[in-house]
Amino acid sequence: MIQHSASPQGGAIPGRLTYAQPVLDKMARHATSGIEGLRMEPPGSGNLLERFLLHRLVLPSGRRHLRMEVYLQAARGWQIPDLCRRAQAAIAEEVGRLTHYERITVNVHVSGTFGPGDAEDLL
Amino acid sequence: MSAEGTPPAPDPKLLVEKASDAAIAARGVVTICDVAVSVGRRGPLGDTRVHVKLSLVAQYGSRLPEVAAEVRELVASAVESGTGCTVTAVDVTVSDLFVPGEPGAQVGMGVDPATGARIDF
Repeated sequence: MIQHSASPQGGAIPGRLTYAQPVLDKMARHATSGIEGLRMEPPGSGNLLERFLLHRLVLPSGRRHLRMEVYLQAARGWQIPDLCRRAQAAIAEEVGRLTHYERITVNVHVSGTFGPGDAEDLL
Repeated sequence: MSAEGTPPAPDPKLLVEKASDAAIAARGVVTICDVAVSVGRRGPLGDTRVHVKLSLVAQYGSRLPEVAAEVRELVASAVESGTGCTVTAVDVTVSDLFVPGEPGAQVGMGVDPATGARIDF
């Protein structure tokens, strides 16, 4: 299980605080749910080798710094860079609100596009 | 201190039970998935030192550092008052988040899927 961990902020009792990958996935999904024109990929989809290699790189890079890899699909006709920027901002804000990380890097991978004739939400 | 004067080491099962019961009471905790304790050597005053590691499911929207801090306080208080051991650290792993109404949201893991209310077990 890929985990992200860091030391807690203050507190009399010491201990580590660790987040499992599904926790960050749910935050990202929730943060982007209100953004029209994109949808998150379900966990485990896509190029397995690429995802494996990317996940290998997703390691705690510091106690206050989190780097996330997010996979999404963009609706055809939308400006993909704009969608990605909105997704990055929303995810960073949500994760920053719910966790202790002070610096959050969100790398967005656009794995494909979808249109009105395609299947509804993947999740 | 002589060996005769030191209290016996507590049963690890008792420590796990106390830690689990205490952690579930923290705000934002939906269920406790796993609890492990490491009982260390006695300190200079003859106390037994305990390191607790637990994983939990938290309610979505809770600030997780605050949830973890409350879990640490409750677990340390319960273990120390109930067993006399000194808690050196409480490691918390948030293994998942519970979103009420979400399909497949931890059904059967101590949560009422309709209301999100916690069911102790």
